[in-house]
Amino acid sequence: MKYTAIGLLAALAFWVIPTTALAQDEEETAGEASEGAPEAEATADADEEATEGEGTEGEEEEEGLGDICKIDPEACPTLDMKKEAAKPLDETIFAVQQRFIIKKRRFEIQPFWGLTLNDQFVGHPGPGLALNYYITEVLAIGVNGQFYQPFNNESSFNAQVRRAARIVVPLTEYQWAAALNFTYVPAAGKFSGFGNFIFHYDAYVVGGIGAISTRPIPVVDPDSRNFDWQPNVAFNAGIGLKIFFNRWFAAVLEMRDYIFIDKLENTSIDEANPTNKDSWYGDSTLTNNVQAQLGVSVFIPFSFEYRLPKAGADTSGGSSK
Amino acid sequence: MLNRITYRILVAALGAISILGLPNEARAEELQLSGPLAGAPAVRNMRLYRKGRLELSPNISFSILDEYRHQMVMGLRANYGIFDWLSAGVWGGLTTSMLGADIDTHLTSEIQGKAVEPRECHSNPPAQGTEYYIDCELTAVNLSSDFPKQVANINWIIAPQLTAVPFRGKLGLFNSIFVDSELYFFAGPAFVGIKQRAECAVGDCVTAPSTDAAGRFQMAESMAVAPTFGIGMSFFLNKWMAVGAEYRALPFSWNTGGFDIAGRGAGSKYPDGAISSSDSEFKFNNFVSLSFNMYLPTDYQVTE
Repeated sequence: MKYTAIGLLAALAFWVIPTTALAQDEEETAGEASEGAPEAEATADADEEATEGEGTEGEEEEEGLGDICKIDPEACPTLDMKKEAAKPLDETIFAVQQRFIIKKRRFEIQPFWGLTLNDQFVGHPGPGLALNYYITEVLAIGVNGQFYQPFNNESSFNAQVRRAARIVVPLTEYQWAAALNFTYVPAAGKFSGFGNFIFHYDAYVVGGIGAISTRPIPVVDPDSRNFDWQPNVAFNAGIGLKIFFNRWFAAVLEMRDYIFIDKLENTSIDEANPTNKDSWYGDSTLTNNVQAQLGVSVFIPFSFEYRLPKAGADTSGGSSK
Repeated sequence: MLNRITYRILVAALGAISILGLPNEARAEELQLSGPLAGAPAVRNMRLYRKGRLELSPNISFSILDEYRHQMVMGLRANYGIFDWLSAGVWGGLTTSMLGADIDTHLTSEIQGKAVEPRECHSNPPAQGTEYYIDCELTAVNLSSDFPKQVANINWIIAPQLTAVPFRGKLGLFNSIFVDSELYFFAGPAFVGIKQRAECAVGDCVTAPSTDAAGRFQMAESMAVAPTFGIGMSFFLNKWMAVGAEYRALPFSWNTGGFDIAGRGAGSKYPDGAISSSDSEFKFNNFVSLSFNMYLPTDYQVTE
């Protein structure tokens, strides 16, 4: 027991001493380099001799391949290290050499808020949720849905037109929408912000088929008419932009056009039998519900591993691509 | 066996070594600073596409979310890059309406087809008690015999503006085409030539000189001063050519339909039988533009 304190202090001393060697001042290094240069050269020579003496060139290659094989066994036999090493040093480095995020085999959960862009008479905002699964890096399959019912709102423009021109404009409100979609990501890039930081983004196109539940808002004969919700087949197409904050979280801006045939309220009234439901509906029209969708995107799982290590960076100060 | 004094000396010495051995400052940051990227900028050898160069961009702009009439603006933008991140210049153009080609919305056609033509309020005024008599009386101030002719339009726009380019980067298309790109913001005052329904006093709006013999309302040209701002992206095809797209807002108040919608009652929210500034409504006036940009001189500078 008497020597316990000594033992503990000795252990502490040994534990802390190496940490002082981890970080050395540059000036000290420079100063010491000249003093210790012969020793350093001797160490390097010894290392080279050890390499030459202990192993062959082939064994070195196997070691290099071994590293890759550990990462991805499938890629192991396809790499010829001699050829790889023989490649010119000024080989083109692609702008997007290693993607900032890997999407393949990841899920994307995307809550959003949709805003109507092209209906001056009734706004159809509402929350929505999209779920995508990336089959490849650039192709995803997914579903999305949106809930409109409590958020439909008539605009003041509607009242103005009705009053000024004494005409009735048939109105429609939406209940919900759901669709099966395919997403294709043809463009990816990065921006340097204020010359200080870099963020990544990608642009995608999306399209699909689904349904949207709608009904006319009775404005011609609101006393007699009370419409039921009806689902309509809806096609959709859109484009979007995703700005990544990290490797699993992004902001999303999307423009999506939901295209469907909508049944409008009949602008004339069956005076003999105004409660006859068959007389309530008038023309059908092809409707484009163009929405701006603002949301965020969460990729799951949160982390991933690159299949191959990043190729050597251009440290020569060569031309910027 | 250690005696008591030796033991104390040994403990004190080890304690001192432990304390002295502890790092007295954080070194991790210093290591980073002395590494190969020490002091390196976020982007090296960046191409300065704008600095000291003149940008000339013929462009076409489309108005969006229009009520009665679409506007296409055939425009030109000229910018000079004071710095690579800041340019000063001007954007302006003429609209299709100015060039004699109105592009009306479906609503305009509907009003003409369903509220004007069947009623014949001007060409064949209905007698009292007939079907359209009330409609014609109540819309006399609002609907002329040719509704598209009373719809307002923009004739021309000229906007001195500053353009800030905080974001510069690269875009990869289909994993095979790579182009330099930039994201920019712009803002400035805009001078807008508009044509809208002429003002008329109560009682005068349905008679000469507010209408012509055919019952068409008089129009008047004026200039609105408004702020303009937006966001855009350019994609550089080579050292001196690029294509771009931008969104522009041009908010100001105007009477797009030529209607009497306000001027009387609490908050002037009800029609007063006159056409005046109170009938003008604030609109955001959104435009989307596509441009082809050329930069002179044709070569650019490159950073270290």
